[in-house]
Amino acid sequence: MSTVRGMKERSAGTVKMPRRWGRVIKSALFVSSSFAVAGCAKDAPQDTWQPAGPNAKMIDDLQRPIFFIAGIVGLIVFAAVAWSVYRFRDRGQAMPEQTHGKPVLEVTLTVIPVLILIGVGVPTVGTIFDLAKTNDTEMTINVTGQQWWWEYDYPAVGDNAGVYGISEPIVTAGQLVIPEDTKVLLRVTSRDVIHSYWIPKLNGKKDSVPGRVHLLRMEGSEPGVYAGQCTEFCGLSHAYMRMEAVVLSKADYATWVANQLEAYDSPSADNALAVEGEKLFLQQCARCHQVNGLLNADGSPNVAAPDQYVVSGAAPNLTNLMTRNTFAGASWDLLTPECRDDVWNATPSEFGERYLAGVSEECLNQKDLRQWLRNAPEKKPMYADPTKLAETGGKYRGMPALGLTEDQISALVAYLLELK
Amino acid sequence: MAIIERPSSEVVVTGGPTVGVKPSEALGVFKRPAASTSWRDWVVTVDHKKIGIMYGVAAFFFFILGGLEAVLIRMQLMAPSGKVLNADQYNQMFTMHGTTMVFLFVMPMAAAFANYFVPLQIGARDVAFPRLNAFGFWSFLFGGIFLNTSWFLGGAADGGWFMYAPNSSTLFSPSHGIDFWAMGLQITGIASLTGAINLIVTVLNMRAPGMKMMRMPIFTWMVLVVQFLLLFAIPVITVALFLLSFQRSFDATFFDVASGADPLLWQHLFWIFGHPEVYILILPSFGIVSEILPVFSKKPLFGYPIVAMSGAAIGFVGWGVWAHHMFASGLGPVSVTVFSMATMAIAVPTGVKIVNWVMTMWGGKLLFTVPMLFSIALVVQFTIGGLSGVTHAVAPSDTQQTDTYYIVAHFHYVLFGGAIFGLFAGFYYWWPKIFRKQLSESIGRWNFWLMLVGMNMTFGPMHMLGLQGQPRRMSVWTSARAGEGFFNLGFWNRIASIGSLVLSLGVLLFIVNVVYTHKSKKVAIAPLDPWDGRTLEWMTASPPKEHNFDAIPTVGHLDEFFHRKYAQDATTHEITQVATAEEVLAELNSHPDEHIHMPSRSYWPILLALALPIIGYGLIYNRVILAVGVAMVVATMFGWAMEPSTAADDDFDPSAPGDGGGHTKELAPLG
Amino acid sequence: MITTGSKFLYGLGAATAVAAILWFIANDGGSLGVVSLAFLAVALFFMGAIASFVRDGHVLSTDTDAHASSNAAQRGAGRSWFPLGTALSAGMVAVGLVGPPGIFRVGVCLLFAMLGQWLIKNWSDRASSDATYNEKVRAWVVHPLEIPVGGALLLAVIVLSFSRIMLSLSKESGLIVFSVMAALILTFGSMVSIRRGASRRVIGAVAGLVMVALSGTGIALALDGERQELVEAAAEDHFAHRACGEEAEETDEDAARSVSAKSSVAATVILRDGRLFAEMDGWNGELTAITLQRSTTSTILFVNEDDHEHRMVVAYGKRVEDLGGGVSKDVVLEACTSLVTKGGTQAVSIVIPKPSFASEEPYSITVPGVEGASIEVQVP
Repeated sequence: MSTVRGMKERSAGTVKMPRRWGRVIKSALFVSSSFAVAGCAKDAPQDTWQPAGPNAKMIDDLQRPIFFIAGIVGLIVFAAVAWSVYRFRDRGQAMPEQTHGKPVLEVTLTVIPVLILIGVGVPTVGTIFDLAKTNDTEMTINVTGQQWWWEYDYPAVGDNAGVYGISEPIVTAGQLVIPEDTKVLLRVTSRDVIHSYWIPKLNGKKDSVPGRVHLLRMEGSEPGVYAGQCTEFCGLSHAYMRMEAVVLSKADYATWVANQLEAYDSPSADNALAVEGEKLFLQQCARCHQVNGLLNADGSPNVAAPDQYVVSGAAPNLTNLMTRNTFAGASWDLLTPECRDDVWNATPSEFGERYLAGVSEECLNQKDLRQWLRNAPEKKPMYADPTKLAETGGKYRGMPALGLTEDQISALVAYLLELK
Repeated sequence: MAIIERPSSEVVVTGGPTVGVKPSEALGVFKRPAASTSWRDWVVTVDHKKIGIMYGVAAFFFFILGGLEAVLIRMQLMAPSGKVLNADQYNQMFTMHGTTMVFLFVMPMAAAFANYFVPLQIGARDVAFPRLNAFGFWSFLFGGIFLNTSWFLGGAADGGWFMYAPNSSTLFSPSHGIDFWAMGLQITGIASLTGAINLIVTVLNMRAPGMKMMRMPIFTWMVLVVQFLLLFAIPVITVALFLLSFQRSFDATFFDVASGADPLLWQHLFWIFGHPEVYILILPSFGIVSEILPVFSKKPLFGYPIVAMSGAAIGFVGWGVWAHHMFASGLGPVSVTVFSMATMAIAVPTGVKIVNWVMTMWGGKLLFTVPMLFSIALVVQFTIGGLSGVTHAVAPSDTQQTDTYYIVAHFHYVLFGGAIFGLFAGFYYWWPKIFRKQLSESIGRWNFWLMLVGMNMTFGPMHMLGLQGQPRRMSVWTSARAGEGFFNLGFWNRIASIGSLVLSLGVLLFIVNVVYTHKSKKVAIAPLDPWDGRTLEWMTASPPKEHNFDAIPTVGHLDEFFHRKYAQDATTHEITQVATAEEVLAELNSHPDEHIHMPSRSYWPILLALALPIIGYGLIYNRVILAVGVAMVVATMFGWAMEPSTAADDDFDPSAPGDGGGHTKELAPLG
Repeated sequence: MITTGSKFLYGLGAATAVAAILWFIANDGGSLGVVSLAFLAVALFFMGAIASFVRDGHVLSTDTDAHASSNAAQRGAGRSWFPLGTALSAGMVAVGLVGPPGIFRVGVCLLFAMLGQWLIKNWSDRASSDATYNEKVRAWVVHPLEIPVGGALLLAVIVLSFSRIMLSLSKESGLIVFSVMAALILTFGSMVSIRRGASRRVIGAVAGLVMVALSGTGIALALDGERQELVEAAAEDHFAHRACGEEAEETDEDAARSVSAKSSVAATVILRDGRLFAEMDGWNGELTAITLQRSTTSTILFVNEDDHEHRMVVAYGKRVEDLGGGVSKDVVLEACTSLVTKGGTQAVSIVIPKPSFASEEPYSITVPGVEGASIEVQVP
C-alpha cells in the first residue's frame, strides 16, 4: 500500500493538485489581507498605527515602509513556494538532476537581504537616537508605577515653575495631563515590581524599574485623551493597571494648573452629607490618601502615612479627584457612559472645555465608585489573601475592604464630589 | 572497560597471594539487570532507541497539558471581562503554558528525535554514555512531574515564563509555585546538559568510517549545533535559578532593590540563556525539514554546506542578540542600536536556509505526503514569523510592539508553525522506521489541514490584536479599549479563541491517527524504506535491532543510502536504480561485524533521577526530606560508579586481547 | 541474607532511628539533632545493606574450619594508627563538651571520619590476602567519597585562611601582600611547568610548606577574633547610624570603595571648586534644586572633583520612634557615603517615605566641611 510506486500513482490524480497550491495561496492572501484589514479597525484606543504625537509619528514613519518591505519579501517567498509546488509536482517525470547547489545564486540571494537590511538599519539607528534626545526638554514630570496604579508628580523645579506656573508640586494619579506641542520628558520609575508605561498614540513604551529612572518623551500634537496600559507583567491586577494621557491646549493647561494649586475648601455647612463625609474621610481614608489642605480635627494639616500601611509605600493622592475622570488605576470611569463619550469623542477644539468641566454630580458613575468603596478587592484583585498579610509585614498591597455601611458610602461620595 | 584491572578469577596455585571472588560477583546488589521484555526493561534500559521513544511519549503528554492550558487561556479571552479564570488562575495558567511548552515539550521532543536518530544517522550503535542518557531522560520526566505537582500544592508559578525580578521574590509571590518552578527547571536542566555532553561526544567520536563531518546528515548537524548551544546556555539559567532560589529560600538579596540590587540583572541572565534557547527550539525542526524536503523532492539538499554552516552561524550569532528582548527596559540608545543591528544580522543565515529549501524543491519531483505537507508549511509559516521578527528587530518599532500580542503572534508562528510543524513532520516521516507502520495518510491530511487552518486562525489575528494595542498577559480585556468597528479587538479575540479549538481538533486527529494505525488490522507492516530515503537510518531493519547495524557501513558520500540505491551515468547524467532498499540491506548484512558489544542495562540512572525531586521537596518543605534526598544521591552515585561494566549474562571480557575486548557471543540470526 | 556482620549495623541503625524519634519528642522539634540522627540512621542502614550483600562474614560461627581457612584469619594484625586517631577525636569530643563548642563539632566530625575509615580498612583488609588488591578495592569503594570531600575541605581551608589573613591587613598592606603572593605563585608555577622533570618531592615539599604557613597563619588570625571596631560597633549599635560628619572614621580606613558602577541613577551630585551641584537626566545644566520620587529607591551618585576627601550626606526628614511608656525618640533619616578621594565616585540608595511638606526642615544634600554646599531636595 505504501510503496514508492503506489505513492506516485495516487498523487498523479488531479484531485490533489489544486489543494496543494491552493493552501499556499490561501496563507499568503490571509496574511497580506490581514495587514490591510489592520487599518480597518476604527479607533481602537491603543492603536499603534495612529500616531497623535511627533514621537509616535517618527516610529510610524519608520515602521510603515518596513512592514511594506517585509510584506513584499513574504509575497516573494510565498510565490516561489507556490510556483515550485505547482510546477515541480510529481507528474511521472524522471528523477531530477541532483543539483547540490549553485554558489553564485546562493551568494546573490544572501547579498540581497543584506542590502535590504542595511537599508532598514540605517534609518533605524537615526530614529533610535532621535527618540532618545532629551536636551530640548521643555517640561519634566515624574511618573511612578506601583501595583496597580500610576502616580504623577509635577515638580516645582526649573521650567515647570517658571514657564508652566507650577509653583508647588502637584501630585495626581491615573491621568497624565500635559500641554499641547510641548516636549515633555517623563522620568519613569517604580516602587515595587517592574511595570511599563505605554501610551501607544504618543510614543513607544518604557519599563518602570524599581531603583532606576528611565526617560520617556511624551508630546501630543492635538488636545484629546489617549489611552494606555501597563505593559510589563506586574502581578495579580496587571490587566487592571491602565492610564491615560490628556493633552490640553496651552491656555487650558494654565487653567488646569491653577485649579490644582487652588487652596482647599471644606464642604459648606449646608451640605451636611458632605460634611459628614469629610469627617468619615479623615477617620477611614486619610491615613493613606492625601488631600492637600485637609485639616485634622485639631486643625493641623493632615499628612497621610501610606508608608506605614501599604507595602509599596504610597496610595493615590485624591486632591481634586473630580478633575480626573478615571479612578482605581484608571480601570473604571468616574463618568457615566454618556458623559464619558462626550469627553472622549470631543473634537480637539471642544476637548479642553469638556475635560476641565470635571465630574459633576449628574455625570458621576455612582455604580462603580460605590462598588469600589464597598469592597475594593472584590472589584479589582489586589493583595491575594487578607489572611496572608503576615508575609508582607502586616501591610496592604492595595485598597482593603473597609466594611462601610451604605449611608457611610453615600456620605463619602458626597464628600468626594466636592474635591474639585 | 573496567575501572580497575581486577586479578583474574583463577587461583594461582604457585603459593602466591590468594584472591577472593571478583567484586562483581561479591557485591551482589550491584549486578546489572538482565534483559527482559516486560515494562521492567523500559525502566532499566540504556538503549538510545527506547529512551528516544520514552522522551517522545512524555513530551507529547506535556504537549497535551500545555495545550489544555492554552485553550483555557483562549476561553478566558474569548469575551470581554471573561469569567472562566480569575486573575490568579490566569497568571498561573499562562506561566505554566509557556514553561511546559518550551521546557517540557519542544526541547524533550527534539531530544527524542536526536536520541533515536543521531546514532543511526552516523552509523553508531548507541551514544557515548548510555547510562547518562537514561539518567537524562528520567531527570527530565521527574523534573517535569515535580514542576506540575505545584498545581496541587498551593498554586503553580505565577510570574510569567520569564519570571522577572522583583515580582518573583517572596514578597510579591508568596506561594511556593515559583520555588517549584525554579527547582523543576534545575532538574530538567540537568537532563539537557547531560544530553548535550553525550551527543557532542557521540557525534565527534563515534561516526562510521568514512563519515566526515561534511558527510553527516543535516539533521545531525543541526542537533550538534543545538547541543553546543545547550552546553553554554544551560549553565547561565542554572546560575540565574540559583540566585532566585537563594533569594526566595535563604533571604539573599540578589534582586532586592532596597539593598542596592538592579532587577535588570535577572533580565540579562535570563535572556542570555533565553535567546540561544529559542534557537535550541527551532534548529532541530530545521534539521528535520532539511531531511524531508530532499527525500520528497528526489533531489539532494540544495547548498548542504551552506545550510550546515548557516546553522552554526545562527548558533554563534545568537549569543549576541539577547537584549532585543529588553529594548524597552531602559538600556540606552547605544546598547539598543548594537542589539538591533545584531538582530537584523541574524536574519541573514535564517533567510539563507529558506532560500535553500525553496531551491531544493525547485526542479525536483515533489511528492506531497503528509511529512512533506508539514515541511512546506513550516517554510511558509516560519517566513511569516521571521518577517514579523524583522519588524521588531527595528528597535523603535519594537517599543510599540513588545509585550503586546504582536510578539505573541511572532513567536507562535515561529514556534508552532516552525518548531512544532517540524516535529509533526518528523513524526509522520520516521514513524514507519520506529513503529513498523506508516501513519494513515488520509487521517494525516485531515490532521495537517486542521492544524494549519487552526494555527493561522489562532495566531494570525494576534498580529492585529498587538498592532491595535492589546498587551500580553492580561487576564481580561475590556470593551472600552476594544475599539469600534466590526474588526475590533473583540472580533479578533473571538476568531483566535475559535481557532484554538480548531487547532486542538487537529492535534486530536493526530492521536486518532496513532491509535487507528496501531489498532487497525487493515494497516500493513511498512516496508524497510517507504519513502525512498537518502540517509543511513533507513539502512536498518524496521524497527532497528538493538545493535542498530549488523555491519557498520563504510560511508563514501553524503546521502550514502541514496548512492547505494542509485547510480548516475557519467555521460548522460541519467539516474537509474541499481538496488532496492532490501537488497542494499541484505548486502550490508552479509558481512556482519564480529565482536558486537552493547552497553548493559542499569537501574542506577532512574534511582539517581528519583533522588532529585526529593531534594526539591526537601528544599521547599523540610530539611529532613532534603537529608534523605542527599543521602540517596550519594548512595546512587556510589552504586553507579561501583556496578560492573557488563551484565552477568554478557560474557564480554574487557581485559581479553582483541579489538575492544574478547568475545564469545553469537549473533542472533537475522530477520 | 542478614549476615552476622550486618546485624550489628542494622541494629545500630535501628537504635539511632529510635534515638532520632526520641530526640524529636524530647526537644519538641530540635531540627539539627533530628536531622543528624536521621542521617546517621540512614547511613548505618546503608552500610548494613552493603555488608549484607557483600556477604562477608557469611560463615556459621560453629564452622571452625572455615574460620581458620578464611581470608580474614590469614591476615595478621599489623600496625595501625586508627586506634590513636579515634582516641584523639574522642578526646576532642570530651574536651569540647566542657570547653569551646567548636572543638566539640570538629571532634565529632573527625570521630565519624575515623570510625568510617577504620571500618572500611578492616573490610578491605579481609577481602583477600593480596595487599595490593586490597588497597585497590578500598580505593575503588571509598575514593568517590574521599576525593571530593577531601578536595572540598582543602579548598575550604585555603579560602578561609586566606580570607582571615586579608581581613586583618589594612588597605595598603593588603594590596602588597596580595600582589606579592600572586607573583610568587605565578613564578613558582611557571618554573614548575617549564622545567619538566622537577622532583616531585621538592614540589610536594614546597606545596606542603605553603599550606602549613597559610593555614597556620589563617588559624592564628582566626583565633585572634573579630576586628575590634566591629565588636565595639555592634555593642553600641553603630551599625544603625553611621556618623556622617567631616572627620574620618574607622570605616573610612578600609579598602578604597571609591568606585561605584551603577547605571540609571536618579541624580549625580558633583563637588567641584567648592560648589555642589547636581545633574539629572532630562534636566539641563547644573541644578541646585532637584526632585526625587517618594517611597521609591533612589540612587544618588556622588562625584568628588575636589582635592580633599569628602563625603556626601543626604538628609531626608526624621522618623519618630516609639520607645514605649509615652517616650518617643526622633531618629534622623540620613544617608551618607564614606570619604571619597579626589576623582572617586560613590553611590547611596535611599527610600524617602514622606513628602517634603511633611517635614519642617527641607530635605537636602550637603557635604560637611564645605561651606554653602547644599542642594535642595524636593519630594512631592
